[in-house]
Amino acid sequence: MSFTKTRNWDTETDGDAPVQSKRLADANCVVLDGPNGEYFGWEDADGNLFPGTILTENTAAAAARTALATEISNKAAEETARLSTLAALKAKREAGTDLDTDDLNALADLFLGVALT
Amino acid sequence: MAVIAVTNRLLYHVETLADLEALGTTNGLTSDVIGWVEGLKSWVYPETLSASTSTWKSFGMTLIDTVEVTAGGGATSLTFSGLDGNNDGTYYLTGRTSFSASNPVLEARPNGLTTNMASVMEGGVNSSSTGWIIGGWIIPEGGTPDGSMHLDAWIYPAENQHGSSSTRSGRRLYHGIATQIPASTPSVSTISVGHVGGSWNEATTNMTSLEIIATLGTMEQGTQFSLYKLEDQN
Repeated sequence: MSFTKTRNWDTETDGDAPVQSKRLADANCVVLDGPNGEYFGWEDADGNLFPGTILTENTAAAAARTALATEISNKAAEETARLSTLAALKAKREAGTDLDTDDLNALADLFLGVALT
Repeated sequence: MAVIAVTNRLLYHVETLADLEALGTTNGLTSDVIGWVEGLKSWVYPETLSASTSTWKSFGMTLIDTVEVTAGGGATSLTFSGLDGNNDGTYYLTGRTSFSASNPVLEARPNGLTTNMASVMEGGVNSSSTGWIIGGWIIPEGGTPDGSMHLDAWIYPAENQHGSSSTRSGRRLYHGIATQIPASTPSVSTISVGHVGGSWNEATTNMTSLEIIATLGTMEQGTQFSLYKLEDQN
């Protein structure tokens, strides 16, 4: 990742630093331009730049994070549905109800990924 | 009874590596100097010793950095920079966080990259191809830990870890364990513990930074991570 310094961090207008670093406690706080947008970071005495956290994501980075969040959310929904199906089948078993073909297909989907006919 | 014989070797207690370097070069030594460096909280010795260009190794664990979210509104990412994965040895990552949103997944990304990554949590219940999962919501048995999380992980960051001529060269591996606690009052039925692990499969890039990113919401104020290195394992 490459970064360029945009400006110094101004505590009067920007507020306190959003992230603290033990190693860079004495370094100059700066605003950086980086691959995913605008970053808060530090500049040491040798002019080396260290990103700390993203302040504003650029469009591509925001889209990537949204896509990832959607993927995770979909997985969560799948997991919830899977557990719901399992719970329904378990309830049938515990009630002594015979499983029908739909139930067997649900089981097959859950564990085998195939359909019974 | 233990006897320690020291011949032409000097032990120092100094604040910084620069102090140790100055003492070593002033005494005309080449590599026979060992120091406890307060700033690193570690014993350190030089591989090569010369003014302003010394290279160092440490005994045991050395703190690289501790980063903490201080903003009231939280932060979506934290970065450890200035790393040298090929020479730092083994990394140990530990930290705690809480989230402003439910369903978070926390990923660590070498060099901030999202490519050539593969990681899983607990046998594939949760997985990622954009980073190294170090904690997450989707866990076996359907827990909903959207509150807080503690984790630790070991990372082997060097290229050529299997030998430069190996067809498996370039695989950087990690494993860890995360405890996740829901926003509601913790109970034995809602706390979950998940194993995580995976790889970054890229043969020609040194790891120079490690980004920690929340894929949903933000890591709240007080989130803190520390990264250590264990150079003797290099």
